[in-house]
Amino acid sequence: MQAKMRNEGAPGSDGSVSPYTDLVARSWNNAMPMTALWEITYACNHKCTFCYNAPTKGARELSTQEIKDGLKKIADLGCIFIVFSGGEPLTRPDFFELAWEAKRLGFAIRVYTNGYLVDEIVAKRFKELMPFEIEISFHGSRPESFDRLTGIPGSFHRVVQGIRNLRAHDLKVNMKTPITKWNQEELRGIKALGDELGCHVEFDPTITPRDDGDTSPLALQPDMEFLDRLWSSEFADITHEDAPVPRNDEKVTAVCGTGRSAIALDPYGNFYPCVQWRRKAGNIKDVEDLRNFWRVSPVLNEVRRIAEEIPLTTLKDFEFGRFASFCAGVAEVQTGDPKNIYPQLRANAEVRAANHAKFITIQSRQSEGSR
Amino acid sequence: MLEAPLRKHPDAASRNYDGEAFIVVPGKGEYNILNPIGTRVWDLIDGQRTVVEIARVISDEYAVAQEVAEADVRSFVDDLKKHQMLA
Repeated sequence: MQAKMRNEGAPGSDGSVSPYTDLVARSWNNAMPMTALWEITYACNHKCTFCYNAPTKGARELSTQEIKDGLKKIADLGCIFIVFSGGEPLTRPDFFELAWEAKRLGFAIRVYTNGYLVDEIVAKRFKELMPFEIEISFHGSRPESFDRLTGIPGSFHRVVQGIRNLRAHDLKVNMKTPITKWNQEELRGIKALGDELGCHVEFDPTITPRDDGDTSPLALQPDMEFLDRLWSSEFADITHEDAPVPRNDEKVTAVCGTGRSAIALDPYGNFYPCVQWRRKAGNIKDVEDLRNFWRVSPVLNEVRRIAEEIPLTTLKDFEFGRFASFCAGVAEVQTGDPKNIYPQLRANAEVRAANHAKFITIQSRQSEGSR
Repeated sequence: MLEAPLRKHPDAASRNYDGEAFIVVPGKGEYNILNPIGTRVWDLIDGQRTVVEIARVISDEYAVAQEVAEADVRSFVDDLKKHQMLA
């Protein structure tokens, strides 16, 4: 009988899952929420044409005190991570007041920002706050493509400087790049820049419709030819896999953590099962006991049920199902049914399956040749 | 010399899940999970109790000798310090 600590690192040498992975799996399976993502404003100083936000005209964004009250309820629910997102969260003059309240309530803080407003003073304030990580949307390795995607001339240089300001304080910064037609040939440049700046870089190959169903952002999706290359060994250093690996669905309870490991809130206080699936479950101002609401909400329970059905129905029947990163929220907003296959999913899953098959063929040829 | 009370690092965020403390340390970017006894020790670290006082509670609650509890708590606290989870 000893007090022990398991430090998160690589999976155990005996092949066991890492403690954190195990915790996340329990969070999914037992609907134990760990993360709340809060879009605290829809105001933004960039004009990205592929942005998924869909502000409600005339609706009032929550006041400082209303957000503070909501944070307390989310802390009581048991979430450890609070993600401040937007819009651009730093456009709220009370951003640091809210962030410090979150810190007082024992949250680990993540901030999703475009980095445009991070001058030396803001970076210093972040250093004092010490968030767990700051994630910056990053759109290209060249000012031309970056500024074209944000719609703001000069944004590339401002954002790079913002990242430098944060890194000067040794803060953890992740760069996240939605892959579009306009930047798909710049992934290596972005990765190289990330390495130079000391940032982890992540790429997202899925462009989604706006939250109100407007599919115009999809016009910027990367093309099929590029996706085929992305999921080949050519980009192994970027996708972190030699070839796509089929998912093992045997131990999966639900297709994702929607309504289980996370919740999402908009600037008006409405909350949803996740950032992508915009089925309104309630409003944080109206719910006194969020722990109880979490258990009994008909919307959340319906979402959980659907998320459990998808691996057993949609993905089982879909020939590339084990290569698909399915999002019920995108399926619902784009096709009207959360269990439908949607075009971006099909495209990515198909090329991932094909590249997996190619990899297996090459491996078996190599193994025959070495005999 | 009197031992100082133990204090959690002000940047360490923690919550209990299924009886185990999950602790995030921003500066290190690390996740740590404590077993149930480690979680109890973590909960007892309140800026007022010393190692000896925490060990006394553990000794009572888990029916182990005070010196055994103290050695265990001391070693555990060293781990916490190594991972910057204490102030």
